[in-house]
Formats: sequence, structure tokens, C-alpha cells
Amino acid sequence: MSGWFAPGTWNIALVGAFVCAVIVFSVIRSRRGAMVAVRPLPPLLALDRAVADAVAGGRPVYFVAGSQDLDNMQTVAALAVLRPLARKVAEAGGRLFVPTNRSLVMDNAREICRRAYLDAGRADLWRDDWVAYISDDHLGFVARVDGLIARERPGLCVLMGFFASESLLLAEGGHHVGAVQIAGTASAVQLPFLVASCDHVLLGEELFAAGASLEGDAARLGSLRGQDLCKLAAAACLVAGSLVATLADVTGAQPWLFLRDAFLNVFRAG
Amino acid sequence: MSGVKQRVPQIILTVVALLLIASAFVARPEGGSAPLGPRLLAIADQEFATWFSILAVFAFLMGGLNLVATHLAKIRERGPDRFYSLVTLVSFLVVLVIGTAKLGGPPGLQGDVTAPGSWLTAVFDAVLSPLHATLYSLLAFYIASASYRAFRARSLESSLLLGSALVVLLGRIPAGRHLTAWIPEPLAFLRVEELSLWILRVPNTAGQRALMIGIALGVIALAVRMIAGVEKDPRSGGDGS
Amino acid sequence: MNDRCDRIASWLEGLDRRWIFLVLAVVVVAALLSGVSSPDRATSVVQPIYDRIENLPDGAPILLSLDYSPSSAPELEPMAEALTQHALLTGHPICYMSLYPTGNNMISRVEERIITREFPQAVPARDWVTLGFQVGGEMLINSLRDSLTARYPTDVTGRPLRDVPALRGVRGLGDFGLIVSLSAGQPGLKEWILYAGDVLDVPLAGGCTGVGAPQFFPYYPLQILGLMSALKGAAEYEAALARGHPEFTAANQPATRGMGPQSAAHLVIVAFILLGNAGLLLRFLARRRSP
Repeated sequence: MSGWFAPGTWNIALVGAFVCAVIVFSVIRSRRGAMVAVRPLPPLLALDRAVADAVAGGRPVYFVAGSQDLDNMQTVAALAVLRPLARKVAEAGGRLFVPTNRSLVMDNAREICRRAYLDAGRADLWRDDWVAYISDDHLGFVARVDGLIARERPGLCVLMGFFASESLLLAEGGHHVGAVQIAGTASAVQLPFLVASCDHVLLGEELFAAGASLEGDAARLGSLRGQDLCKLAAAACLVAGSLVATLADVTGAQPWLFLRDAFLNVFRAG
Repeated sequence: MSGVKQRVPQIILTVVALLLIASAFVARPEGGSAPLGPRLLAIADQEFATWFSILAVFAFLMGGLNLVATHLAKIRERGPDRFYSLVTLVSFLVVLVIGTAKLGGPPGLQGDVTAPGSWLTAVFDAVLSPLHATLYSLLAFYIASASYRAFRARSLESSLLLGSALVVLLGRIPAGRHLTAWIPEPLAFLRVEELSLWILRVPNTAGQRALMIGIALGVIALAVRMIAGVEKDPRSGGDGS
Repeated sequence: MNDRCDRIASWLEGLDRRWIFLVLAVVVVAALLSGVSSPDRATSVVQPIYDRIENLPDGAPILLSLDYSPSSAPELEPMAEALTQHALLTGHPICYMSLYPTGNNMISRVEERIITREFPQAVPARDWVTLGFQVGGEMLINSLRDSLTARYPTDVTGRPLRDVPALRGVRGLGDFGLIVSLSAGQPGLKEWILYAGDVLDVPLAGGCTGVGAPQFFPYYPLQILGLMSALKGAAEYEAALARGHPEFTAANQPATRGMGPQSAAHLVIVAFILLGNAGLLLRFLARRRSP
């Protein structure tokens, strides 16, 4: 097998394989019936009430699936939230607008919403142009969506997925018309803006758990457990690594130095 | 038939994802002596990038066609927004024509469509650039009003947030530097620009790393679910697991 | 007294955001018109980028990826201009590319403003080459690791890369003396770190918008050798350049000039934050005094 493995990537392969194995193991366990308790996410708990209020007030619901294409995991996670949301809005007999800035996202979002209205027995309400492609240009997209929000005055704006500078422009647009705003992003630098302007925010990894949490199927909940186990392992490694590095520097003893180098080798970036 | 329609994309997704993951850990072949496996993976890695570009072109086409269809329908319906739709359609078609025909620029397939003097560059400089700058500059106003609402010392945590916001805001401007320039050299770490850099490099980095670890695990978990076919197809209505 | 405190506090709490917009606009326009600016100095996060270019082997090419659109140009373009001037002053060829669809225009602007106006003696293909934009983001970076010609058989003018003296000795990304990504978002610096810097033994530096800076500090200094954040980072680079190359002092320094209005904007925001907290304090005092 000489000449197969790229030098310097074994550690990433090792850590990656460990993480994948834990997640797969947790999924299998969960499918076999192991119970997984998931902490309720307050932004998702607020969703039902916000949808009901918006529909009762005759105001539409807006959903934005971030500003990236389907190759971005945050967009996929956002679409996983759209499916249960669309069902809730359809069941309540409301209007759901999904402006998108990627044509592939539009195609998927349209299919999700159409199916949700169909499953809820409200196919008569649904119109294809409620899911529209606006522009790949994120600022052109924001200009159009903010204009729509100002004119349509939605009762609920859900902003999920990857956002760049448009996060605050969108969130302030919704805030200005008095919409309830529920957001979620794993773009860490945009979180402060969303927290400042929205009523409820899914922080970081919570976005990836949102779809599973809303729909609650065993396999996906199992993967959340695997994710948490890996996070525990990461935290343990951080504490152990810091201790070992400190002891190596303070004592200069060979075993600690060896252990510190081993840690650095396993967790080096490239 | 619907089972086949669901399975074929899943098989393509799983195979392509596993090949791409494998290619990241396999040595790049140097010369003809490399084993066949790494050479095939390297070719796949390169080819997938090309296919991605081709897919992107089709995605652009789909988006463009939808844009035209949506706005044509709005004009036909004579809705209140029809003039906006007209402006959108005209702009779209004008830019499409001058870009495709490479008006004013070097001709031919290899001609640079963005060369100085081309019409596309003129549109870019005269229309797109100022529009972008205008929209982006709105951020400054929104940041100011959001900061006014959000930074209130209502608790210990929000007071810490407020304090660090003030230090970073002042530390990122020369005026802030002058404000604490009187602090003697041995205590230079207390100067506002040093404190600002410290906040960005230490507490911020710690928080960012914690978030990054959680997000990375979330991304891996989602990717594993998709590769294994556990994640529901976003377009499916029923239980796709 | 309590009533008055309460009234002022209520007014401050419900302050119409348009007042904030108006004050900010007036102050920034006044600062722009007055032309007030103050030279900066390079911090320990920016200086290593300057030092790296100074210490590159003779003729080592620099890859400059302009990963931004016109919206973030006011923050990132001064970095591109300063880096271009520095590379040309020190005799290092520059290779421009972009992960953004509007990247070619951004590159053209830098070429026109800096190379054409300030370095008329510079020769295309010898002193700089433009590869331009290609779609793909991280996939593009990944495919350029081994060979630039895999995705860029020619430069934007149609010249085959093998005929470009600026890229003599460059096969893939690892052969550049330095890669700098000026990044407004995604795809950008993060993708360069993950798909080039971490997997190749190539020095990588970056520039980013002010909003994006916090996410890149975890990568400094192990995965990126330096980071210019926003206009302030660009002004610091200009300061380092002016100190090391006095001939640059006379040149246009857009970031240093821009720091005047930016300072004014920051001060207005600080003032409004303090005002908001003054309202909170008044409310607190009124409640404490009330029987």
C-alpha cells in the first residue's frame, strides 16, 4: 500500500474516522430502540405560536434559507427546518413565501412546500410563485426581500442557514415591520447581529439539530447523541492536552514532553 | 419506479462523497510509477471540480429562466409591482446581451469580458458598484441602531458585553489610541488598542473555537446522515429513513 | 424629578432609529469633507505579512485572491492596492485570481489604479498576471493544488500559462512564495486555509472585513501568518509600507484617509451606546427614589 496515503493526513483521517464511527454507532443504537432525550430548543418551541399568530392576523410567513447553495451544509439544515415549518403553515391555512438566491435551492424549496401543502390537504391554497428565485447576488437578493417584507408586512420571518452581511439587513427589515423573528445560523460572526435583531436564535450547531428535533425520527436523534459524545471527547482532549502541555513546560520531564508531542501530532492542523 | 428515483440519486451521492473524502487522504501521484488507485482518485478529484462548474452553469440557466418567467407573469397580470418587474427584465436582458456579445471589449472566445473599455465594465462601474456600496453602507446605520438597542448594562453578562464592545470600538480607531497613549510603557497592555487586540485574540478566539468545534461536529453528523441515506431527502414528504 | 427622569428614560428607550441614522450620516459626511485622518502603526497581527513579503526570495511570485465584490471593496480594496504596490516595489510578480464572480472587475480596478498609474514600467505577464474568476470555491482551490493549468489553461487575455514569465517555476499552489486571500465571506479565506494552507507547505495570509475578523483569529498565527482586518488592517499595512519604503509615503493611502470617517462613525456609535445606558440609569434612579 506504499504510495497510497498522503503524508501528514493520517491524524485527520484518525479523528474523522473516530467521529464518524461514534455517530454511526449512535444512529444504529437509536434505530434499535435506545431512547434519546433531546433538550427542547426554545426558538423551535416558539415556532408554533408564531405561525398561529401570523396566520390569525392574516399576515404571511417568510422563510429565507441563507445565502448559499445546496453544497453548503447550512442550506441543507435550513431546508430540513422548512419542511416541518411549511406543514405547520399549511395546516394553519397560511401563506408561506420563500425567496431564494440560488436556483437549486428554489427548486428544492418549492418541492418541499408544494408537498407540505398537499400533505396538509391545502393544495388549493398553494401557489408555485410563493417560492421564487431572486438573484445570486446577495445584496440584490436582500434589496428585493427587504422590499417584499416592507410591503407584505409578514407576521413571522424565519431566517435559517448561512448568512454573511445580509443577516442584519434582513433581520432589521423584519424587525422594522414588527414581525416575530426566528433565526438560526452556524456563521459565528453573524450571530451577534441576529441576536440583536431577532426574537429567538438557534446558535451554531443547534441549526443542524433543528430539523431532527422538529421531526423527531429515531435515526436523526441518534446522530445528535453521537455528536454530543464527540463534543464531550473533544472537551476531554482539550482539558487533558492543556494539562499535559502545562506539565511538560513546568517539569520538563520526558514522559510529559512525549505526551505533549503526541497530542500536538494528533491534533495538528495540516 | 419512485423507489428507483429515490435510490439512484442516493447512490450517486454516496459514491461521489466517499470518493472525494478518500481523495483527500490519498497521496497525489508523482509520475507514472504511482499505484493505479491514487491516480484514479486524483483524476476523479479533478473531474468532479469540472463537473461542478458544468452543473453551476445549468443552475445559472435555471435561475435565469425562472427569473424571466416570474417577472413576465407579473407584467402580464398587471400587478402593482409590474414596473419593478419590467426594470428587472430589461436590466437582465441588457446585461446578458452586452456580456455575451462582449460589446466594447476584446472579441473572440478568449477575449476578456471585463477588460477596461468593455461595456460590461462600464455597467459594473456605473451601476453595480455604487448599488452594492449603497446597500452595504446601510449596515453601518443598522449596526448603530442595533447596538443602541442591544448594548444595555442590565446584568453582569450584558455589562461585560458592553464593556468589551466599547473597548473594541475604541481600540479599532486611531482616536482610541490617543485616548490611552499616556499610559506608561510597563503598563502598555492596558492601552485600549492592546486591550482590543487581546479581546479579539483571547476571549473571542476561545468562544469562536468552541463554536467551531460544535459546528464542525454538526456538519460531520449531517454529512454522515446524508451519505448513509439516513437524512431525509429534503424533497420527500414521508419518512425517508 | 422622578417623573422627568422617567420621561427622559422613556424617550431614550423609544428613540426613533432615524435620529441615529441622521446623526451618523451628518458626522461621517463632515469627517469625509474635513479630510481628517491619523497615520496608524502596524500591530503584531499585520506586521508579519509585510515582513514575509520583504523576506521572500528574489522573484518569488505572490498569489493574490480578491475574494470580494464591490460592496466590501471599501474595506478590502486598499489592502489589494497596498499589497500590489509592495510586491512591485520589491520585485515579486503578482498572480491575481478570484473566487467571486465579480472578481475580474475588482482585479481590473486594482490594475488600473495601481499598476497602470503608479508603475507604468511594469510589464504584463512578467510583473503580474491575471487568472481571474472561476466558479467552484473550495473545489477550485482543491483542483489548483497540483496544477494551475488544470482550471486555468490561459490567463484572462488568452495567453497560455506556460508563456507567462511571472509563473516560471510555478506548477501548483504550493510553489507560490505567499498566498493572500482578501475575503468578504464564503468562499474566501477559510476555504484557502482548509484547502491550501493546511494541506500544502505554503505561507498563507489574509485580509477580511471588520465583521468577519473574529472568525479568523483562531487561525492566527499557526494557520495564517497574519491578518488584516477591515480598513484598520489596511491602514496598518500602509503604515508599515510607508515606514519601510519612504517612496510610498507620497502615494495614495486610501485606508489611512478612510480612518477619519471610520473613527467618527465609531465615536457616534459609542456615544449612542452610552446614551442608551444613561436612559437605563435614569430609569433605575427614578425607581429607587419612588416611594
